[in-house]
Amino acid sequence: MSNRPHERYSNGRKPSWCSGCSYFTVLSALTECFDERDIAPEGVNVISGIGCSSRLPLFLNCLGMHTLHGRPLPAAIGARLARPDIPVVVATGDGDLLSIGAAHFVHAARKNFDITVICFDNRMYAMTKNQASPTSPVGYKGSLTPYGKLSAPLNIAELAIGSGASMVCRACAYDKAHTKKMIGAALDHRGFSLVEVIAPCRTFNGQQREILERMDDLQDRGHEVDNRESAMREAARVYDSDNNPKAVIPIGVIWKSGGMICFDDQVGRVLDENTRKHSSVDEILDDLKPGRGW
Amino acid sequence: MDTDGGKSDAFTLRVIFRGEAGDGILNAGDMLMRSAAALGFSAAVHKSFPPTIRGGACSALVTVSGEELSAPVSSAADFVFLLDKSTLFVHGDGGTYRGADGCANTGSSVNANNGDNANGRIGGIKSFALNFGLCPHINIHPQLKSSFALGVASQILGVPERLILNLITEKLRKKNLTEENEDAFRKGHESAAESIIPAIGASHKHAGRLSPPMPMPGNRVVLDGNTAVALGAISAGCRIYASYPITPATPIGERMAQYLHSFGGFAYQAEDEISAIGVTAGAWYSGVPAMTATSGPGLSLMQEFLGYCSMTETPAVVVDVQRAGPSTGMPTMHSQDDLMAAAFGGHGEDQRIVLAAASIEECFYLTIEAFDMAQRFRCPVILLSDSALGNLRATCRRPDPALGLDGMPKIAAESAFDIAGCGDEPPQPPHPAGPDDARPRRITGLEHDEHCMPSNSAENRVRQQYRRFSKMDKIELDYSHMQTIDADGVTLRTPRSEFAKKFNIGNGDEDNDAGPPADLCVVSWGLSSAMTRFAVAALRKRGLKIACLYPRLLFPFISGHYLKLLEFCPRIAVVESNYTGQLASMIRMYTGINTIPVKKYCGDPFTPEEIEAELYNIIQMENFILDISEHEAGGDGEVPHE
Ligand SMILES: Cc1ncc(C[n+]2csc(CCOP(=O)(O)OP(=O)(O)O)c2C)c(N)n1
Ligand code: SF4
Repeated sequence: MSNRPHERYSNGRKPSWCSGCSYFTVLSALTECFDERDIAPEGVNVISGIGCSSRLPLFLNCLGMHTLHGRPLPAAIGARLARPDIPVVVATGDGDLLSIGAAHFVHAARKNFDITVICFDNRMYAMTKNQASPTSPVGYKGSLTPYGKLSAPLNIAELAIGSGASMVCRACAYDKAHTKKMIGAALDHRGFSLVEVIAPCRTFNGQQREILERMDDLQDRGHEVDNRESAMREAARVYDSDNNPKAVIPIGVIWKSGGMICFDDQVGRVLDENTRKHSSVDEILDDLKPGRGW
Repeated sequence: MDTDGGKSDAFTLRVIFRGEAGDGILNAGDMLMRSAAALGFSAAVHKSFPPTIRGGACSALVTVSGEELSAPVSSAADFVFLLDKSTLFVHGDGGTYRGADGCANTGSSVNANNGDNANGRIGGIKSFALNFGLCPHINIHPQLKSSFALGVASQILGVPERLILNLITEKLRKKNLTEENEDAFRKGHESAAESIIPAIGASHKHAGRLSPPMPMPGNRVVLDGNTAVALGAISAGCRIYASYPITPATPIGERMAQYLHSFGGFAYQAEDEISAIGVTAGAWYSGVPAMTATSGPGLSLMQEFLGYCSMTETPAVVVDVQRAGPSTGMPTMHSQDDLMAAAFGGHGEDQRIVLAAASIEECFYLTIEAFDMAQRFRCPVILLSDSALGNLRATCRRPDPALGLDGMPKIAAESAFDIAGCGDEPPQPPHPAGPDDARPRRITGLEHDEHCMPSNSAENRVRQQYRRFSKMDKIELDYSHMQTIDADGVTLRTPRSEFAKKFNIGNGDEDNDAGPPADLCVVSWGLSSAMTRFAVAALRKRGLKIACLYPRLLFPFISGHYLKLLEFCPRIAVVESNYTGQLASMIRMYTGINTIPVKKYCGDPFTPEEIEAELYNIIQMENFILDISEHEAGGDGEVPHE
C-alpha cells in the first residue's frame, strides 16, 4: 500500500475528462482499491470499450486494452482465458455495455466469468455529445430524440441478475467511500460482478448532488444479498421510470450468489480432465493413418 | 486426362453417390474412401451437400488411384449411384458432369430408380439398366439405400466386406442402426455378384480394382482440410480457439475442442463472431497465440476488430472457410468470393495479410505460416479456405510440424521485434510486459504515439501510418516462396531476367533465352489452383506451352510476380470461383494488366476438365486473333501491344 495510490497507478498523463466530471471519483476509488489489495500495475488488466468512461485505462499504467465500442467483454474473456492469474476489470459506459455491447454483457454474466465490470452510468451518451442511452429516463431530450425518449429505461441490476451475474452492486459516484466499498467488494468476489455507478455527466446534465438524498443503502436495512427473490425485488425498484424525482434509489450489494461456479474454474477442470489424452500433434497424426477407422 | 493402363498403379477410379440429404450419401462416400485408403490406395472424397439436415441434393465423389492422387474434383465418373429420383431430375441436365467426354464409353451407372432411367444417359454418363429392378427379390427401406449401394460398390471393386462392415459398426453404433445397415450392405454385396457383375462383365476395367491391396506407404494420413487447419494451429502453438458455429467452418472448432485441451489450451464457444475475434485479440494481447475460424457472414462481423488488431499491432489469426455469399447465400457451397472482403473489408487503411490454401496439406502449413506472420508483422492474418476444401478428405503426405510450406525451412520468428519496430522506430505493444519493462502496457485503437497515448498530431499520424505500412514491405523480400511459379518447358520471350534465373526458368542459355512465347500464362488461387494444375498438365501433354503463377500470399499484393509473368506471354488467364473476378481485379488495380477471366460461380468447384476446355478455347481464340492481326499488319509476327 502506498501513500499516493493515484501516482502508483498513473502513467503521468492528466485524465482528459471535463473538470468536475463525476468519473474522477470512480477512477480514484478504483486505484485506491488496487492499492489496498497491493495489486501491482502490471498485475491487473483494465479493459474498456469506447466512450468518456472507457477512456479510463488510458490514464493508468496498468495492463490495459482500450478496445472497440461495446466490445470490452470479448477482449476481457480472451485475457481471462489466456492469463487466469491476472485479474480483469472492465470500465464501460451505459451505452457501451447495454446498447451496442448488450449481447456480450448478457453472455459474460450468464457464463459467470471472473470479471469485475464497472458501468459508469451517466444515463446518456456523453462522448458523442448527448444522446439518449438505454438507461436514460422516458422523455430524455437527446440530440437524436429532441422530442423526448419514447421508451422506458433499462434496469441494469435486473438485467444483470436475470442474465446470471453472481454479484450485482449499485453505487453513486457522489459518495466516494461507498463507491469504493462496492468496487472493493466486487474485486474480492470470484465470478462475474457488476458495479453500476450512477455518475451524472456534468457537462450535459450539470451536477446532480441532490440525488444523494434519495439513496437507500440496502445494507442498512438488513437486505439478504443471497436471496434471489428479494434481490430481484430490490433491483426491480426502478428509481425513475415514472420520472418521479423523489423516488428512492436502492444502493449497495443487491445480489451476491453463494454458490455459482465461475467459468474460469470450470476451464481448469476441463483441462485437468483432458491433459495428456494426446501428448503431441504427431500422436494425433498416428491416429489418422489409413485404416484407423473414423 | 488420366493414363489408364488396366490394373497398373496409374489408374483413376471415380465413384459418385448421389441422393438426398439424410440418405447417408456422405457416409457412404466416406466409407468407400476410407476403405480404399486402408487398402493402400490414394483416395479422396469430395462432398457437396445442401444446408438442410434432410432433403436437397447431396453427393459424394470418391476418387481412388494408385501412387499419385488424381484430381479429387472431376467431371468424369466411372460409377454413379443415384439413390433418389429428385436428384436425378435436378442433375438431369448434366450437373457437374457437363463436358465429361470420356464417360459415355467407359462409365456405367447403377441406377437405384426403378428403371426409369434405364439405359438412358445421365449428363453424358451412360447409365446401364442396373437397378433395384434387376434385383426384384430385394426390398430395401429407403433409408438403407446407401448401405445397399456401398455393398454393390464393394462387390464390383473387390473391397473386403469386413473393412466396410467395421466402419458401419463404428459409425452407426451410437444410433443403434448397425444391424439393418449391415444387412442392407450384405444384400447389395450379394445381389451385385448375382446380377451386376455379369451385366457389366467381369472384365470391366474396374472390376476387382481394389484387390489385391497396395503396399501402404509409411508416411500417409487421412485428413480433411478443416482438420489440417486445426492441427496446423496446434502445431503453431495456438492455445486459445474461439468461434461461433457456422457452416462450413464448424468442423475446425470441433477438432480444436477435441484436441486443444490436451495441450493445455481451451476451445471457447462465443456468443457471436464479434466476440470470437475479440477473445482472440484479448488472448494475443495477453501473450497467448489464438485463432478463430468462420465463414463469410462471420468475416463481415469481424471487420471492426481486424482493424483494431492492425491499429494496436496485435496479432490475430482468422480462418475464413468461404461459402457462396453475399448474405446467407449458399451456406454449404464452394466459392472464392471473400478475397476482397479479406483484403479490403474494414474501414480506414489497415495492415492485413491474406493467405489462401489450395490443398489439404497447404491448410496445415499455411496455418503455421499464418501464426508466424501474425507475430512477425503484428497484424491479422486471414487464411482463406472454402467449403469444398474444408470438407475434402483424402490421403496425403503426413504433415511435419517442424517444416514450413513445401518443405522449406521456417522463417525464424525471433526477428518479430525488428520488423515491427521498422528502422529507428521502436516496436509497439502489445506484449505481456513485466514490472521492469519500460514499454507502455496498454493498447488503444485510437491513433497513438510510441507511449501508446492517443494523439491527433499530424506529425505523429504521418510517422505512425508510415511505420505501420513500411513494416509490411518486408513481406515482398522474405515471402517469395509463397508464390509458386510453374513454367515447366516454357521459354522466355525476353532475355533471361534475374527473376527467371531465380526461379530457374528458361532453357539454360544464361544471357539470351528469348524464344517463341508461351501460349498462355495462367494465374489461379485456392482450390481452383489445385484443379488448374491438373488442367495445365493435360494441356502440356497436348503440346501447349503454359506458364503458371499460383499465389498463396494474396495480400499484400506483390506486383512483381504478376508483372514478370509477361516475360512468358502477354496473355494471362485468371481462374477463380467468383462472379466478379476478384484476383483479376486486384491484378488490374496493382499492375494495370488486363487479364482474361475464367470464372465459375454456381456453387460447385471447377473441375480440371472444365478448366482445360476453357484454357484451350482461350488459346485457340487468341491465336486466331493473332493470325488476323498479323495478316493485317503484313505478317511481321509482332506480338500485339496489349
Ligand atoms: C461502432 C461505433 N459506433 C459508434 C461509435 C461512436 N461512439 C463513441 S462513444 C459512444 C457512446 C458512448 O456512450 P457511453 O458508453 O454511455 O459512454 P459515456 O461517453 O457516456 O461515458 C458512441 C456512440 C463508435 N465509436 N463506434
Ligand atoms: S462529457 Fe460528461 S461524462 Fe464526458 S468527461 Fe465530460 S462530464 Fe464526464
